[in-house]
Amino acid sequence: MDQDVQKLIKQVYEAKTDSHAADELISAYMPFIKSETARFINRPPQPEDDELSIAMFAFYEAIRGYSKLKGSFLSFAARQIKNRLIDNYRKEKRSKGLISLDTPDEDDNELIDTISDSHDEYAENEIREATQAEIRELSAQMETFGVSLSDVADNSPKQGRTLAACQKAVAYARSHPGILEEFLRTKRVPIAKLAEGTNTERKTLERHRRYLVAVLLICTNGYEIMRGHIMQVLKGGEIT
Amino acid sequence: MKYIVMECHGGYAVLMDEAARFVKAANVHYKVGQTVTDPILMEKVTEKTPSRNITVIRRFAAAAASLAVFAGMGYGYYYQNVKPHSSVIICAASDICLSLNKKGHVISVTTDDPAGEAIIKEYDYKGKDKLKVAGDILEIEKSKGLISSGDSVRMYVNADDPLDSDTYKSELEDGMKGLDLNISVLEIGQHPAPPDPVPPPIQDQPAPGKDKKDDKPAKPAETSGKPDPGSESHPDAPAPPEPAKDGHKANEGPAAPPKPAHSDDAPAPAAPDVKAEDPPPPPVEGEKPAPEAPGEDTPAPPAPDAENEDKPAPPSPPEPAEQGDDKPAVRLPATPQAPAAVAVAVAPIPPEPHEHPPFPEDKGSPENQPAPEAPGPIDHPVDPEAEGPLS
Repeated sequence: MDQDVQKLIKQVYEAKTDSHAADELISAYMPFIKSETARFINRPPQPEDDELSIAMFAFYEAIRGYSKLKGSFLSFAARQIKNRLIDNYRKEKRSKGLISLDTPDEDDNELIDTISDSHDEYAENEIREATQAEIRELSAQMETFGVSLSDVADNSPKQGRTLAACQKAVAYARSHPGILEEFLRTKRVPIAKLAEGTNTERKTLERHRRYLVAVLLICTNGYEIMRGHIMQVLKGGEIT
Repeated sequence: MKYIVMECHGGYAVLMDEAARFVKAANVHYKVGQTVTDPILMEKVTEKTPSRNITVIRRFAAAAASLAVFAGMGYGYYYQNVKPHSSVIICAASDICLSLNKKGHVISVTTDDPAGEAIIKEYDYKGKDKLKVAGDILEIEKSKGLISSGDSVRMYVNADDPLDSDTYKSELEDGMKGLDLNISVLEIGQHPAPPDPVPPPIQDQPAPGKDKKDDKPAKPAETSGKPDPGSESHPDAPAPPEPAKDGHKANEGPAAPPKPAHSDDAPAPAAPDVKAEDPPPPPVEGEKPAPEAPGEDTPAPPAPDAENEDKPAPPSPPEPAEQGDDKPAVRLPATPQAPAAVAVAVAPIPPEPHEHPPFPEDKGSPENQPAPEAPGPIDHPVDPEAEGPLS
């Protein structure tokens, strides 16, 4: 019994930093996640239920936030799942006054059919595929730097001031092509030059090196869609 | 805000927002490359960065803690090495005081004696053990001829801790055996020198009360005149004869009285005479028993004067004799018969008849109220005569 508990705790601590281990742990404990979801929605969850996705996400949050001081992991995860589902329920409840587009009208036609669709689904699919291609290429290029998107998400600056400092460094690199070329050639972030050029704390940039790798790669040629997505920031727009 | 789905996992998805933030969110059936607007973002893992206040408090606490540690270490060093915990006084040719630290090492040597200062000047005692320093000092004194072999040396130990005191005593006794001296180690509390000289002066001053009790001459007074009460009443007795003047002389007077009583005891023949004359005194006592009882005891002193001439040994007698002389002088006029003879005779006799009655009254009236006694003696001269006819 104790060995199982110790093994679980070990897996949890591995999953904190390893995204693959986290995925494996989530897959291994899917029955537990489903049971906790079922207790909340009072029925067996289906794969297409948002509650199940939210429960899986809550389980992942539990992995990231768990500590031995917080007691049993499964109790902690169950509490985390329940809280997340309650939050989602309240959020849904807030928008309950809205009418669903799937609501049938008098003629038994859905409301969504009566609204003119400005979306071009074909164009959207094309853009999505193009975006996927860019992301795949970016991921591949990031691997050469030893960085994954999950790492970038973990290393992304949380505070606005830090994010602004990093954006300032990225803007400085874009205005100095030599720095980007050096970055691609050496596969090392020129922290010293960026810190000196932007008058930023070197330590601040060093702490977010993986994030800078991703953003600097996006700033290079070949990632038009993603660059367009963050263009407002790259142009020096305010960060909200 | 719009998010691009960058990566999808079983439990979460990585999104990138328009501010170039990469975030993790619930993977609600997302697909890579999809643009979403309202994701369920992951809560910030609470890696609470300590606030500025907490940081300042922590730094202050760390500084205070380190300061406390250093202060504690400093005090520990001071307590162990610098603070004097005990002292050893060497009473040889000169009194030399060694101040010792907790470890028993000498931290200072002091003396009021010039000879001792000369010894100290020549000797470096710092950091040395008490035995070493004490032995060296005695050796120096011996070498200077201040003391010689076989002389007795006393050492006094004063320590905060009784255990240390005992330890030092035993160490000094054992460690000084090598020296050819008679060394006695005592605790500072055992400094017995002063008590010896004290007794003599005590005998001189409290002669009246204590001499009678302590000294042999006093004992006879107790036997004859019923010592203590009589002696206590004495002070009151002298007061009556000279009410206002000899307030405190009365205190001296009492000492004298008992002795005369003794002297009168010897002259037995006088007793019968006194008994014959007893009648007159009783009436006096009836009025003022307390004053006269002592007064009668006190008048005895004159007789002791005679004895005092025979036995000059006790120093006190002469003084009471003078007082005794004064007292009888006052009474003489009161007594109808021969003054001197009566004064001597009356003193010894009254004690016996008065012994019982006077005590209660004496204790009450004379001690607490000397004033009422004053009128008594004043009446004396009148009473005997007045009472005589009255009776």
